[in-house]
Amino acid sequence: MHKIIIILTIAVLAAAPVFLPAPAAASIVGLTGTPGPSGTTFSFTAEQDYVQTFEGGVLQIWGLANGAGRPQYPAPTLILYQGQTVSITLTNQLPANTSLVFPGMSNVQASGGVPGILAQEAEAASATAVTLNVVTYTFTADRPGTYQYHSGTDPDLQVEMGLVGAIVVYPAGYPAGGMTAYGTPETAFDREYLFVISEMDPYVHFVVEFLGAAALANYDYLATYKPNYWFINGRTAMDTMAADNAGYLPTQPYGALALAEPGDRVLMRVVGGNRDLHPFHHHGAHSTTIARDGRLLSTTTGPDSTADLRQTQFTLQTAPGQTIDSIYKWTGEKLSWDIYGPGPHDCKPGADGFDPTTREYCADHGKPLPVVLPEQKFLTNGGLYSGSPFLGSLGVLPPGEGGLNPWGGFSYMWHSHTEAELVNFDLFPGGLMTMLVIVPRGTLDAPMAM
Amino acid sequence: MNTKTKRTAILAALVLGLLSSVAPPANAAEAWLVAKPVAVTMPDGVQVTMWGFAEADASFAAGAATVPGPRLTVPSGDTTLTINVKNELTVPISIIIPGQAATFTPVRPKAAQGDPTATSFTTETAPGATGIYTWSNFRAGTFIYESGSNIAVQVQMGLYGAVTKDAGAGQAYAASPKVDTSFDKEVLLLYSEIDPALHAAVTTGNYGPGKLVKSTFEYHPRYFLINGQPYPAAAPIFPAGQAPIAAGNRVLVRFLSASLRTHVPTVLGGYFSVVSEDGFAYPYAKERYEVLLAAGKTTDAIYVPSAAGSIPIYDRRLFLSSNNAPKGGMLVKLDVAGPAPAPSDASAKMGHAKAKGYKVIPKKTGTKALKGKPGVFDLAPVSAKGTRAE
Repeated sequence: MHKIIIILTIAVLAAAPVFLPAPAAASIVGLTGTPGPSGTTFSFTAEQDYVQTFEGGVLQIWGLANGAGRPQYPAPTLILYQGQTVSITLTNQLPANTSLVFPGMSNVQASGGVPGILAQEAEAASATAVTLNVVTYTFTADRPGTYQYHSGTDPDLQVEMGLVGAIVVYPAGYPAGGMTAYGTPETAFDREYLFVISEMDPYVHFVVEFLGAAALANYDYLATYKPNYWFINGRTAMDTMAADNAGYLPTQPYGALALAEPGDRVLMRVVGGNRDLHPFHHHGAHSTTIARDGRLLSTTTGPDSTADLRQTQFTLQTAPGQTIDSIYKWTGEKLSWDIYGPGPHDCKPGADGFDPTTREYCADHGKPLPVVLPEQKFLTNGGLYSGSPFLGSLGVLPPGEGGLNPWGGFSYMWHSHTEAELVNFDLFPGGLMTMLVIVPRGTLDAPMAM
Repeated sequence: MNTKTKRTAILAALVLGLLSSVAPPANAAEAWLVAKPVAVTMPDGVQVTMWGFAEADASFAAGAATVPGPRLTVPSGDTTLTINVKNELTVPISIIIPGQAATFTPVRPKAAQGDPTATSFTTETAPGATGIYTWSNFRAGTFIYESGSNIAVQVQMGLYGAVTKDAGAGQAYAASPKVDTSFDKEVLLLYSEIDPALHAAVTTGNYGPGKLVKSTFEYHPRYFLINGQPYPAAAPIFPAGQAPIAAGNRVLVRFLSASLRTHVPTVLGGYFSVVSEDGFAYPYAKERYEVLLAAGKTTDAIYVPSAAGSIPIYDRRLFLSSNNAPKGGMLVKLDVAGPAPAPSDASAKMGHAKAKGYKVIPKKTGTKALKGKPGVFDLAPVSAKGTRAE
């Protein structure tokens, strides 16, 4: 029982903050900008601030703040629509020059600031001419997909310090005609989640915080880079499962808990945020990777212009700078037991063998759970265990146990398969890990008729 | 190395060369290299002793070694490559080309004691001696030649270089309607690293079992190179005589890694059409703004610049420092000639400005078939900002 093993692993969650995101049709949290006469505008300030790690650590970051808000890690997710012209004004309050680059975007224009190696830069706040610490980047998001942006100034330090974020470009007209990632039928999805994957070497952050960035010249920090924190959406586990905009994480607004119903097509938008490779492994089902770097895995030329180059995978290799779009679907097919348990419910199979209402796999309807569950006194319960092995059922738990899974969902760990990355400064569990919770049909959308 | 004797290999090459005057082209390319130490100066002034290959003539008269070694270009019609090497190092070396078929004769110094451990993939050339390595069925693609002896040490010391063969003129791999590998211009980017401490240990006899540095386990590279130098001295390698890249050109970008680390060359402002890996064309091209370049790998991409400017290709693994100082490492810019870009295109403007700061690496220039031999031994010139030596 894979699921139960995972649940037991999470036993240590008992002391965790409460993760109860509002069940809602998940859309990616981000900024849509301010409409203006010449396109959509964003106004960001690069500043120093801090992030928290789950075991109690605090790291200084260089983050982007939206307007008058606090800086955040990762940088704000830009929610764009194909064809939109975007202007991003970057004001620099950091002690070093900074800039932004947008891999995958063509014809990025810049105004203001001073020339840099990869991009026009906003000068450091301490520079003499104040007006040179502002630079504006303009581009048109001409193709849908998942992208990223990051600092183009000493990115080996500044991306590490936090200056990286995601860009989601929806196809023109979205969501008219149905939700799709790229406007084509095979990219249709029911729910979507963003996973910006990154790491930090605390040593670098300590030197920058206490001695200043210039002091790094005296340290062997780049050649011997050794991260000891790993993040999804700027949070370390178990904070990854806290709600979006959780009040206790003011500079880490993006959660990473995925919720889905059986049969949902879950679009995973995975972004390699810092400099290491991370194999992002998703339990529960394979996924079909449809795109990388914001481009479909298909061919548009030659005799096989409709060739299907999608890949089925259970580990998404996230290379630095790369983006991956993959569609995950959990169905429970052929589990050989009834996921909804022995309680009264029907299963009327459609053409695909699933009940169109409950999405139950009808061939397994009524089959008993093939194992005898241990008595409670032999169990250490995790916060995500509902007390029942059946979807939508809550069982009796000892006082103080459970409570993080009011839906009676099934929990699957999504995590780095470099398992050494499941720690926060050497403390397990933590790091590059979150959960997908499969909840009963009707929990997230229309109530289920059972 | 081919199982034929050296003499046979030479004769075969000569015979093939003679035959070419009367029969369809089936030439044998032949190159002469001398392996020897070379002091390489990094942009910060630090001098590192490396082992490199020097271009030589048929009598092994050679200039200074370079890292990477001279680029070898096998003509499209040739099926055999012969590399003659003279070893002026103090350790035995050999030459292998991963991805090209050859018969190996591994060196197993303790075989008599029942220990099959090999110290070399193939027959070694002793210090002071000369050796001949032959590939008799050389296929088209982008490859690395490197030492096959004690490679954990010798490759990172600098014994590597690029060897390429095109399927035809302006055609990297066999023409296919599914993946277009035709090109107008080409550029070669070879990624490698230096751990200066390791080099010092090897050079001063402090490397090996029981010595100060026992193995390459403690490998901490501090210089991250493209074509032997970090930014801003890193410069693309172009074929001799190639006209400047212009907007709209199909540019074949050959990525090769003699690194021990993975790198992710990433382009700003457009996409690569990635067409091959390890010298094999893909069934279909992949549209990417980055290339995942693992250690020892080669991959080819077509890039079509849309406008004049200076196109940055930077390592998204962020090895962008030199000896821990920022603004160095694996970053190079491709200059594209032609009409000026839109006036406010910052990256293009800046690129031109920066390009003026490139160091010109003094190298030999010119393409020549040496001493009437059929092989073309092509040492590509290095350009600072798109101007090509003739």
